[in-house]
Amino acid sequence: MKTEFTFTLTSPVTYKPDNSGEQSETSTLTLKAPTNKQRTQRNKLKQYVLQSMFERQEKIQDSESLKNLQDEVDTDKLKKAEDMTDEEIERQGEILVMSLYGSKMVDSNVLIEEFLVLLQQVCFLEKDKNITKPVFEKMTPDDTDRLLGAYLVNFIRLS
Amino acid sequence: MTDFTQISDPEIVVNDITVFVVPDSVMYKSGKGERKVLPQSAGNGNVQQVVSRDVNTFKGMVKFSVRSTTESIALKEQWQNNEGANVIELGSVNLTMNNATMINDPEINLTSDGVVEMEFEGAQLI
Repeated sequence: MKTEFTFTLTSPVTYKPDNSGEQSETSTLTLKAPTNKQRTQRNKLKQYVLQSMFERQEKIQDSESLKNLQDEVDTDKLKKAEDMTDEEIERQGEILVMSLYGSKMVDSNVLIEEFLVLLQQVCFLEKDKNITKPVFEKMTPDDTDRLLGAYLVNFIRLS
Repeated sequence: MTDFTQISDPEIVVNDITVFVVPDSVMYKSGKGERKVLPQSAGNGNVQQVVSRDVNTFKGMVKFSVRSTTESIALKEQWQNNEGANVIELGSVNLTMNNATMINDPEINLTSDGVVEMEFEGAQLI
């Protein structure tokens, strides 16, 4: 089972490396799987994902689309992240994030705040250097959404 | 459109951590340095001005105060030990000072309204 993955930002962010007195740029983030220490944030994100899926389920009328949606929550049918290509993870992540933003039950500001609290513990700019709020605030919103999607697909969706 | 708002509540980030500062305590010098204007004459009132740059002043400076909390004192120790390797970002004016060193040895006032004043010098702000 995957315990970490690497994510590439489209717009690099500046940060202060541990062994340097000057700012540096990076496009590469390392994300680790949540542990019980991040249980609250992980559960909140999982709740949001499921709520948005059930909301979509209620609105679907035709059986074909309903079956497709049910397959999205049927963990036996879903591909594991380690068996997916980067493009598949990106595409799946996009769908999850769009569902979340389109859900009446999800407050997108709270979603991103919870994600930030989680990231500060599981996202690394370099070995042992966690991302902080000021660095996160330098990321573009599009990169944030892509990162959220990738994290949900890798560690939340099937957990 | 020109913004005439006074910047009185700046954001300070030191080594990627946002710092809570005492209001009205932040100041900085960009490190562009001091200059003297010196006249030179070719005679008969033919005078030109020569600009002399004092490179001893080509260094950035950032000063701010923090409250005497456990967290602030811990951060002060970290920054003081990190000679020449602190990075200070001034969010409100989008300037960064690299290779910053805390040049004073702050007095820690353990009183009801105690503050810790810190002064850093480093590279010119960019």
